[in-house]
Amino acid sequence: MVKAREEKTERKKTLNQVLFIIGALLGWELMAWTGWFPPLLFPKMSQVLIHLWAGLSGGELLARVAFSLYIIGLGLSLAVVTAALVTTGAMLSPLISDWVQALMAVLHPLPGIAILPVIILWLGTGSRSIVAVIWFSSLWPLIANLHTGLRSVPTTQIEVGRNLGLKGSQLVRSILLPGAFPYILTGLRVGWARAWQASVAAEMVFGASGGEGGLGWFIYKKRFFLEIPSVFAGMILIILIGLLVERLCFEEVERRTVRRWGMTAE
Amino acid sequence: MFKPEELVIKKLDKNFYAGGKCINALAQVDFTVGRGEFVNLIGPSGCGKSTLLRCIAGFEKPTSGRVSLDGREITGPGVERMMVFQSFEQLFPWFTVLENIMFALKVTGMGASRAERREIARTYVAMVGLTGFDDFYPHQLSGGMKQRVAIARALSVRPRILLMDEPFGSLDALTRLTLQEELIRIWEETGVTILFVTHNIEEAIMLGDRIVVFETNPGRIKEILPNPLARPRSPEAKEFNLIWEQIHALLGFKNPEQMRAEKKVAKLFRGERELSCLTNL
Repeated sequence: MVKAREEKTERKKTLNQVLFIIGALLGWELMAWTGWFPPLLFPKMSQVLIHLWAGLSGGELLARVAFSLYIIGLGLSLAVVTAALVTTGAMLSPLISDWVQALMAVLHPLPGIAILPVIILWLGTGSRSIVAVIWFSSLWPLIANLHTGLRSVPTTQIEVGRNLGLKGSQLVRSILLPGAFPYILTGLRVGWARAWQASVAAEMVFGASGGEGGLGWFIYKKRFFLEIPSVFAGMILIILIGLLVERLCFEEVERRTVRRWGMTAE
Repeated sequence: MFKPEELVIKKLDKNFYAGGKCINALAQVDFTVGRGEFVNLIGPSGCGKSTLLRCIAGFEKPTSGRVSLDGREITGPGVERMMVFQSFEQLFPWFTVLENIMFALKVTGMGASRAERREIARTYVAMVGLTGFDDFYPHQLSGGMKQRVAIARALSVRPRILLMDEPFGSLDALTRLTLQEELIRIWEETGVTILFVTHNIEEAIMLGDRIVVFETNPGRIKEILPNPLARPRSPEAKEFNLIWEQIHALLGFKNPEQMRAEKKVAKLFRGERELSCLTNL
């Protein structure tokens, strides 16, 4: 009963939000129709959608999306591996733990994009630099959450594990990691968002070499040729991908794990 | 009845170092527990009764002295000594009731197949009266139900000794009584040895064959009382009250300085009352 009612209000809320967005898009279209703004800088929404469709069906946008996802996937995976190694080190030795905490305090406030100039000097202007910026941007939230997550596992649960004869890696795998999972999920979420931001921002600084680039580069290039509807199309695509990943990936995983288990971070 | 010695604790000392100070949590603790016995440990907080349990479980290493089970010295945690904690967090939240028990069976190498472990787990769930809750997650259970699952999980790996650290300490009085009765029934059925820490005198008398009374600072055994009351025990029985008073006297010591201070304060209050009576007239 209660659940059904909750679902109903939830659906009503979603409907409300969808209607609002459709309304906003229609408002945009009407504003553009009035001719108050130069059409070059403020294109009609219909125009934007047409460009979006053309870009997608022509394959150009799909190639950009594929490139973006590939490069983000690479940077994020490297960051996850690094975070796992660093956290393992911190768990094994209090000395390393202190170092990691100092590093986090110093480097976490630094936006990933801020290291780009140095990275360009070191690695040149290519996808390697973009991967490096993505790696750096997503690394700190991953480490911070993994660290907090592991420490949030109740001592009693660890002791039950030890009582059952679990040691070392077994204990980590079957008790610490599932126990830290809510935080790990949060870390991945933040890391993913940071990775997107970093990739788009980095590509806008120097584009990409050899005609290969992701959505950031697409937007940058289209602005250069003053194809403003395509610029907006690129932005809409970024939003859509963000929503899709959040809804289909993170929310689904959260529903099946953390929420089902009654474990919520914080 | 002859009960061969199972758990032997000899001259156990345990010191903790905190803030540059040495705290003597346990001093010269000596006692033995027979096979299948139900022993209660009771004492004021900080008397080291939980520390003793943790030393037996192997979570803490004694500073000196030794703990041995059937002649073998205890050096670390082991499945033959399962601990049941007070905390409601002791179940793994990502496993259902059944999976919690199946996990314990799996990591201890019990049950040949998953199907077999499922069957064994079902039996233990039924034993603690939770049939029908197999697929519930811990967060969907009440505190009492969680403790039942913890007991079922601990027993499922067939330990020699069940170490219970105030397992009913966070439960309401009614649930506590029900669980006490069930624990007795389970103990009688399984024949497992139980060491049960509590700070509740009634609980200690309801459960144990013997009651070990601790005193604090340093933590040591003050007295070991036999509890000959016939089961099922009733708090209304005259003998029950006799033991209660005995334990209460053992626990309820006050140091002379505190007594004097209390008398002084009482006198001040009396004076105040008399004064207010006069002014109100």
